Amino acid sequence: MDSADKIEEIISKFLAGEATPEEAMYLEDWKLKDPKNNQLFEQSQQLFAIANPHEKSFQINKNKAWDKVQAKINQNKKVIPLYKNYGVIIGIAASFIVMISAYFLLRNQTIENDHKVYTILAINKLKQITLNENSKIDLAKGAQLSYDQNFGIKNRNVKLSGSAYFTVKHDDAMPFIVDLGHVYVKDLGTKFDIKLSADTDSIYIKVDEGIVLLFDSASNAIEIKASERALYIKSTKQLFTADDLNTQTSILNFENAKLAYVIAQLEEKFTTKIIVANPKINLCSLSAKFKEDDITTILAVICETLGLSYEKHDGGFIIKGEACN
Amino acid sequence: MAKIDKNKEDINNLNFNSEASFKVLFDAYYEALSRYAFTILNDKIEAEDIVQNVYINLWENRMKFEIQTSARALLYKSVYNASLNRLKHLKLKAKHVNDSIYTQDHSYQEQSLDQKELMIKLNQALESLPEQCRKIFEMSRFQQLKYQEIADQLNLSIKTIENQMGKALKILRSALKDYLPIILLIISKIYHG
Repeated sequence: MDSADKIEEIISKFLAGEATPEEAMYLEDWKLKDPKNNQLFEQSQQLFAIANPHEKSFQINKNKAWDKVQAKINQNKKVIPLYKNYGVIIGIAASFIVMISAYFLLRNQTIENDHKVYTILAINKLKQITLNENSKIDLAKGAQLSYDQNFGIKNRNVKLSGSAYFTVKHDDAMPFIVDLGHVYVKDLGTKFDIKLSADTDSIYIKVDEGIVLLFDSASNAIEIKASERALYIKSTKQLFTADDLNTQTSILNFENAKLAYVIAQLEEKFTTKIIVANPKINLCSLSAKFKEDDITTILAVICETLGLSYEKHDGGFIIKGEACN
Repeated sequence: MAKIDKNKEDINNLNFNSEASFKVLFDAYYEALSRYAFTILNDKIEAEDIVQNVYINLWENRMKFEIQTSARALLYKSVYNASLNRLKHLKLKAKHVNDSIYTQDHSYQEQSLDQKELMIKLNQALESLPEQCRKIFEMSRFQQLKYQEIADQLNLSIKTIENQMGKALKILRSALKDYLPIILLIISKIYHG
């Protein structure tokens, strides 16, 4: 039998619901080899669909499906008792150490040694987590926090993307460090809030209690004390302290405030998401006062003032325009 | 799509202990697996449910799969087994409520004019098939019988059924090829337009 006949058999088996997993995989590979193959498959599928209209191909919403799967994954995760897994790992390590090292060597350099990384994601709403050394973290919607198996044992390092509120106990021997991607926040005894802008370029930090140290890989560093705020722009590695920022929150009052800071304030006040299409506009300066205005009015005023434009986008807003002079 | 193919080995070699790499695994195969489950179950919701559960199960048991062969093979195998189990369950349930989803009403009232025309064309093309080949195709497609059931009824081997179905597909597709691209266009309009 030639391969053309064989593939006809496999297509028929697949469409009739008779294909083995191996045949289904073989067919997928074959379809990807050549667009003509795919077309031939599609035609076959149509043919089967005429014979039985109930078998029409259907549309799959992968994102929606992922949301469901992710919700289940995270629901079962909560606080991961690290020590539980640890016992198992140690147990296996004794007898399989050679094997496991070889396994990770083969697995290229993306995985450091035997590190396991745990990731917690707040999908649709704020997520409160307590880590194994009693640090409390409120992850904002969409934020992701990860740490490795040595957390609480050898280190207290977490990686954060998105926004979160931290309540951590200071420990000189093992400082709590938040990695924000080449920018770090180190606690010096503390309750603090980290806000990452939707475009992920600006980081806004508000300290409620204690002191934190904000530093980056270019050795910029600043201590932020209780009730102070700081703003860091990643693309330009610029740091703005509380003095540069207007911190009044009841009425929105901005004096020479950076747009990134304005956005952080607006996002907080209106619990919305504001994205800038061009990170350069984060550095635009704005002086304005808003009293009980709605978010669209405020955005309209800001855009008018700075020569920008905005539109609604995915439940939030997107601001577009060129860098300010 | 070719991009996925190129990186397939990479995907299979991912350590899916991190959610990010697990997502890559999900993105790469979710759709194909759902379509595969659908061929067995003929039910979109059931098919997607099965695939989602297989993924969740894989994630929850990820510690056990550390030294894996291929994540893809594991996924396909799991979806296959879960689908067959589900099918058994559904058939059993259908028997009890005496309302089988497998005895579908083949009145063509709901079909559009195009579909009616295509049906006529298909019937004409079926006439041109060798007798046994036509019979097997009709039993599979119109009566929704499994290959094993057809083989039992006609006293033939499964291999013969597979062979004859392939042959029928090839001949029918060739006979109807002028009509098939039209539906493709209509469908892509609905889905992407």
